[in-house]
Amino acid sequence: MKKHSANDPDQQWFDEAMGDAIARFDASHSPGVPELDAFERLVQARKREARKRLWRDLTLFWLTACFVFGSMAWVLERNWIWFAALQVAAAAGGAGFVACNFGRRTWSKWKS
Amino acid sequence: MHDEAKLINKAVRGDSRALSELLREHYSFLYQYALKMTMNKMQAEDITQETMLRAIEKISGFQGRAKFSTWLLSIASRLFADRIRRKEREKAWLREEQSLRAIRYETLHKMDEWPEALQALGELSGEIRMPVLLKYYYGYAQEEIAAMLDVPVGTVKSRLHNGLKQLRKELAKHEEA
Repeated sequence: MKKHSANDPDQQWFDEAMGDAIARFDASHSPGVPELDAFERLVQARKREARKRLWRDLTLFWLTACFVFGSMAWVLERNWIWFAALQVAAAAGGAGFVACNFGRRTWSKWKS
Repeated sequence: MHDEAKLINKAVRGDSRALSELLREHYSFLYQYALKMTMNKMQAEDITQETMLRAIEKISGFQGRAKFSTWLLSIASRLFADRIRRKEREKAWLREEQSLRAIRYETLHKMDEWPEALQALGELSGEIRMPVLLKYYYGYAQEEIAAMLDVPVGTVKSRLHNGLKQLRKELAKHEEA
């Protein structure tokens, strides 16, 4: 726990009126701590799960990238005007998405 | 302290045993914070568990700018803040009342009393209780709390002001009665 500022009247009031009751509450609700083995099992299981998820996400990412790249190459070969239109649409969509997210984050910060 | 720094270094580099030791050392501290923050035993257990899972995922990014315990508290606080945001508003009051009653019953059983200070603390909303505990019980600065909860410093200031005002009012009411 950190040090409290001694000359803050709010702090002094809190320490006197609340501090002792909260400390006793803490002491009476101290949990039974599991053995180290249980924590090790939890850590290892979580790490395994995270690795599996990373590989799954990477596979999905590369499959999607290959599909998009392949499709674009196919469109470019058939009709370059369509290719340019798709590029412009994708850029506009990306910009719109970024603007939307930025706007929402600014709004929620302003509200809080 | 020195040992903890060594454990943190090892844990950041991927040592599972070091991370397990760190989590075990901080388990009680984390659970007690979660219990005071939620005033609900089941939620406290959930948040403690979820905080540890997040810590396992993010330990490689831990830069040691704050203490390990502070890092855990900020993960737990954000998880709780997310839960508050997600909760359906109309049912929240009823659920808080029920959980406060349950923790009061258990504390009465363990401590033989339910101090008015705890009743007043339990009656604060979670959003206000968190900064009040972090500032006045754990001793963090307003700027640190703002960073931990990911809210502006002004929000922390107003929540602290409202929280203390409400606590004083509740305790005065109890004294008068």
